[in-house]
Amino acid sequence: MGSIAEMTLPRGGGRKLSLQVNRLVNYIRNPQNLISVISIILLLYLVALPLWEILSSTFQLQFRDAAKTGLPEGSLTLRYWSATFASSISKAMFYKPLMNSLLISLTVSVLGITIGGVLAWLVSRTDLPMKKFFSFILVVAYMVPSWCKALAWEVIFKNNRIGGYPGMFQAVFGISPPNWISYGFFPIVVTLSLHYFVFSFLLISSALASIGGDLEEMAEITGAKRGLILRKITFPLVIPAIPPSFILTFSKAIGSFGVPAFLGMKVNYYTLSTMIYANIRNRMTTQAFTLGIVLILVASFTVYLNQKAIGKRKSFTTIGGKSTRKNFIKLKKLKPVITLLVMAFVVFGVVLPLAVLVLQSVMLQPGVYSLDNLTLHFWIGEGNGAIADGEAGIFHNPRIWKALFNTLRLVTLVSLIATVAGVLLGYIISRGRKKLSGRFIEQISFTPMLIPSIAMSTIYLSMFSKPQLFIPVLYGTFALLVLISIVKYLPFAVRSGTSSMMQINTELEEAARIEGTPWVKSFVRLILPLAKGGVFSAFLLIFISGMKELALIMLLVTPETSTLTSLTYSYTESGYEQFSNAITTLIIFIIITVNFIARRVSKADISKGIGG
Amino acid sequence: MMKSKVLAVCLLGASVLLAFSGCSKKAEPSGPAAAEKELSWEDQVGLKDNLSAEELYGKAKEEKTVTVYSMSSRLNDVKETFEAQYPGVEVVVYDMRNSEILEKYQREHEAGIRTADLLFIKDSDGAVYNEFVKTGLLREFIPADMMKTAPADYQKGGYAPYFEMKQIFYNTEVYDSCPMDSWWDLTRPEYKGKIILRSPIENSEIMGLFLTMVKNGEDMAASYKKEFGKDIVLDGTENAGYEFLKRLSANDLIVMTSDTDIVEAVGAPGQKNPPFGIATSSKMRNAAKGLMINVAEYLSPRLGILDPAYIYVADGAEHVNAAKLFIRWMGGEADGSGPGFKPFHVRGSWPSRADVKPVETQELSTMNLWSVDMVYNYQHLDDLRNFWMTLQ
Repeated sequence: MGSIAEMTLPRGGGRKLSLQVNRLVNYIRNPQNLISVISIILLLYLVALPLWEILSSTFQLQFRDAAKTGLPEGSLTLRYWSATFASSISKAMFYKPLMNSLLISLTVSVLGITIGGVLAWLVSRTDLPMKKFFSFILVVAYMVPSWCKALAWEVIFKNNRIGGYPGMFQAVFGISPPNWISYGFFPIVVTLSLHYFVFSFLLISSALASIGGDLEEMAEITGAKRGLILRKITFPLVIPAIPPSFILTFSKAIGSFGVPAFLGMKVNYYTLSTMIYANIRNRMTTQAFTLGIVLILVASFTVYLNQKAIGKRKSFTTIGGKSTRKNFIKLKKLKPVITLLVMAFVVFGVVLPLAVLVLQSVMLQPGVYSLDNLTLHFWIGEGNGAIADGEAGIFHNPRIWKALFNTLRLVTLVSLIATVAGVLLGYIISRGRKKLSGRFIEQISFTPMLIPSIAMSTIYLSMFSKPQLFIPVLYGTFALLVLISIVKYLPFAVRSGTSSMMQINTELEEAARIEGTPWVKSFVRLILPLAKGGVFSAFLLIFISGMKELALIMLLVTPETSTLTSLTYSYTESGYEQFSNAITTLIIFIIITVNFIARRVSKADISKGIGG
Repeated sequence: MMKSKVLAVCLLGASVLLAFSGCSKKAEPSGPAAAEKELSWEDQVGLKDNLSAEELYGKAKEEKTVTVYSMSSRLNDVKETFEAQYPGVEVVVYDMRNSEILEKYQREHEAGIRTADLLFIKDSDGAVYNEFVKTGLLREFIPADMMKTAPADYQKGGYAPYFEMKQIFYNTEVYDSCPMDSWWDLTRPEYKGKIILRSPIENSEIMGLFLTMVKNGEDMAASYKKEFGKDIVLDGTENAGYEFLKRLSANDLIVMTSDTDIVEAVGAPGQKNPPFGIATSSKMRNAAKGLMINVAEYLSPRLGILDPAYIYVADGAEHVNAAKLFIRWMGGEADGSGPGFKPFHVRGSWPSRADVKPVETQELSTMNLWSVDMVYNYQHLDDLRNFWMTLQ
């Protein structure tokens, strides 16, 4: 950064100018510096500027209100903030949703880390049977979009309150579930926890794997009790994995949209994210921005507190490396019970939602559980006026084909570009840890993680609906979807890029440089091949996240650029759940297939991408 | 040390941003001047000229295409018949929600993007009329010959080929006739947690209905007395209209986002204690799909308000003649019998032209309706929205 200050603030008079220019040219000639400069500008432009844009717009009188108040458009005003914080609607629009959001995210984080931690310990440290199967199926839980679990929940636990066809539970047992089970806090927390525990599971597993079992083994040999070992060795070793788990879970949960939308809005239970959405839908965009800013602040503050409380995230270096011989803790008598419990968890958390989804997609009338109600119309039916206002089944439906094409194009482009950017930025960061530019890039590329998806899309919606510097109006274009997704997934890509780069010793590069190899060549020929594993994993993780992304693109898609997920949401909203279910099944099928192929071909592993 | 460096970076970043945002401000055109300049656009393209379908078709063929942002998916059916009738003119339909259409159109117009030629929207709360039509963002075009027989209110202003209404739906399997004869019935304890509607915050038609009730507070007070036999006591509200909304909201409402879902919840067969729903009248056509539904045909003090479906021409539209041709087609052309109107000629919707009769639906003349005051509605929109949110 010091060098940037030099560039922008020339010190001397004209005499020194040529010297300055020379220095600048030299600075830029170095590809590393060039990339630093370009990426700082881009990141400022794509991350910092948008934040500034919405912040400033909340203090400016908007067109709609200008006409009513008689003041000129754009004049300084506090009305949007006072409406949010201190007005008759603050409670309904801000305080209640905020409390709900916080409660949900905290509960989900605690539950997620507990479930994930216990499962991780069981799978990596004990003699639990069928480990391979469990670790595979538990990660599949993450591949099933979270809102799909919400849909499944609704199908099963829908109650009398909202009339219509009965839920599955009611159809089978004849009892209508109470409201708190069907809608609101409880089901939202359960479905989100069943989804986000995967973060903790993967991070804690990898923490456990990286330290091997020999420490515990030694303790056991010296006669320590199992409880003592857990308390004194296993927990402390796992602790560094908890802050990142918490950050990931909390920031994902507080920004999640689909689950609270499906399970909360019907009983007037709003979170900040659904309230933002509602405000935007009602054309109260500036009001939505104020909520978005609060959401970002809350997410950042929690991360900050969390870092404060647990200290800087550090990784343990355990001397001796991985142990080759694993000595598993015996579960003894509890083994069958625990195995059954884990199995039950898998069935309820992963298998059942999927089964419900597939079943729903072949039912003519939702909620009518008889054989003659089964149909393949929603899959292969031709358009027919009698069903769903003439929408054709998904294999005959041009809208869905287009959305499928859009989705694949989007996720492929995004995962490619983001991964490459992640590798480049990771390189800069790992080699420039001591420089301010490196740290700055690390910080700012991590920022999108703190911006909840729905808030981020409100920002981009506003920012790119007018020409920006050299960028034309991107509103309604496919490019905007690509852009926002790249920025949003950058933290994943950069993290994985950085950790791959950290593992590559600089001595290799130095050797290449002494040999006279140009930087670009040594990067492509030397560093990339070494970082291959991490790169593939990041690619895969972004691909999967992109396939099921809803909140991020919800506000930005148009009928032309609609994706599979946005179609799912609009079908659900207009009451054609079967189409949503069929499309969701298709999404999950694609995700699992891609994951399978990627693992076969490249040994890529999304758990590595998450940060393990 | 590190902190001060971070601060320096932030400051530098902030100054860069300030510089950027300074640049972006200049690009925006000033409102009134732009509107003045564009007013002449109408004359330039001859928007108000009443041409026959043949003349329009001749010109439309050169324009080749027309793009509609529509709140109804039924425009896809209109597209099919139109393209069959007028080969060489392609129709592009974007099916979106009302508020999405407005948001998208406004942003595009501001950015100089001229994708839309026509907007097919509802406007019961007056936002479209006051923010878009009055400011010249949307243009009115009425095929005068087709609207000769329409109610006088609809012979000028925006063109509405048909009306719908928000009505109370009930389950016909359980109830032989509608057990409600007054809006106040919705506040009775026996229907607590049994009433489904869309949120007025999100749905302009419900909002329009509520605004009209607030405006006609005396009607609501009189109706209360008729229903309960005593004068209404206001509980901190301005009038009986607001009081009605307060009590309605306190009756544990269920809010849904789609009228399709609402009528299904009301009319799904096999229920013992089905809910009631306030939904768009044209959802009566879903009765053909096995739903046991009907609507209240009489309500005190009045049945409700008409929700016209307006079709406006976009300001600066590039395919004006094709747009006008499409408007004529949607309205059923000269005698109202054209296939373009078929998709709207269904149960629960009323043609605005009196020479086309509604299908299996109460005649407009037998319905006791409020008239809608778009100016009043728009002026009180924020108040009512805030009032409603305070109740939640």
